[in-house]
Amino acid sequence: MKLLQLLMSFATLGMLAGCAQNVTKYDYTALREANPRSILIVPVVNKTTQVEAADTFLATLASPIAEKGYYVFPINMVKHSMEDDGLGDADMVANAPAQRLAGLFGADAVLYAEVNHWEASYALISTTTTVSIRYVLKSGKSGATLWDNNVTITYSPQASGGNPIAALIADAIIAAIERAHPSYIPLANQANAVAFLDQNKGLLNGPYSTKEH
Amino acid sequence: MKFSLFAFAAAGLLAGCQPQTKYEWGAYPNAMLAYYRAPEDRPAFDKAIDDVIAKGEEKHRVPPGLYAEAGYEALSKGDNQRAIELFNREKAAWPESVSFMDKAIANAGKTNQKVSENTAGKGVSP
Repeated sequence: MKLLQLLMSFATLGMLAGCAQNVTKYDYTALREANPRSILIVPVVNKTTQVEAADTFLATLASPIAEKGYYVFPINMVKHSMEDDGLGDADMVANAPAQRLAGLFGADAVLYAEVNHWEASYALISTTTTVSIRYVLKSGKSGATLWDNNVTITYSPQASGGNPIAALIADAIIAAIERAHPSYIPLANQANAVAFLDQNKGLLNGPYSTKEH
Repeated sequence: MKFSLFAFAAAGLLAGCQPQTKYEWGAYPNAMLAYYRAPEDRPAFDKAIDDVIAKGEEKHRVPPGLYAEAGYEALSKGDNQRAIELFNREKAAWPESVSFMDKAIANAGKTNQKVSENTAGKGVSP
């Protein structure tokens, strides 16, 4: 499944790259100046009726940010620790000053995420879901926004490639599985990949990255 | 189970082209979501963390935060000694974690009896 997620992410990036001529590059001045080493990911705010939206994104955020080269605080331990500290409510945390949250954990920066739109349409051989999510990285020292990105993706689990008839059957199987037990982790992975890896608006590489941005 | 069928279909069609990641992630994200869906799935989350560490250590690919996650699981089971050991490993591997881990270690050291989930995170209180 991971392969598929990643391949689809790359496919999406490819499409983005193809029409990126007039996209302006993000202004990274504040991020470069702050130069954070560690990122605290706080519980995701859910503005949709899809109950699993927040947890699905929370569970998938550590890997893309760590792979970018940042130290990422332990997601589950942080979630429970914040609950114990009276910070269990994602909406409340979203309004808490970044300096306060960062101070609790010794984090250089805080990543807030908010799922704003989630719409699924079900059909026989495909299930299409459209999701919008906003990511904001704030400085743990000043509270200033270091980086942000809004992503809207349309996700349709597909077993494309190879024999078209086999692929069609596989698509129908996947659509059936999605209807019975929707798995939105690939969708979240795709949105995260678009948000963090985009060459004009993505997150800069962190201190543990071996690659140049 | 719901993931494995999907994985099977995908893996069958796309075998042999795995992109390289910096760290070993294993089932950590999927198991975390499963645990949030159903708290009784916590042992599987536990195991996913242990598997990531075991596999990651073979090639120095243990992701940031994973020793701490394992420590927190040990703490929630009342094994404070093991928790402290793992928090120290997180600290040694990632200097960025020192402040948080020192609080967690101090907290685990104070509590000798079985710690419930509710009291386990007091280490971050200002």
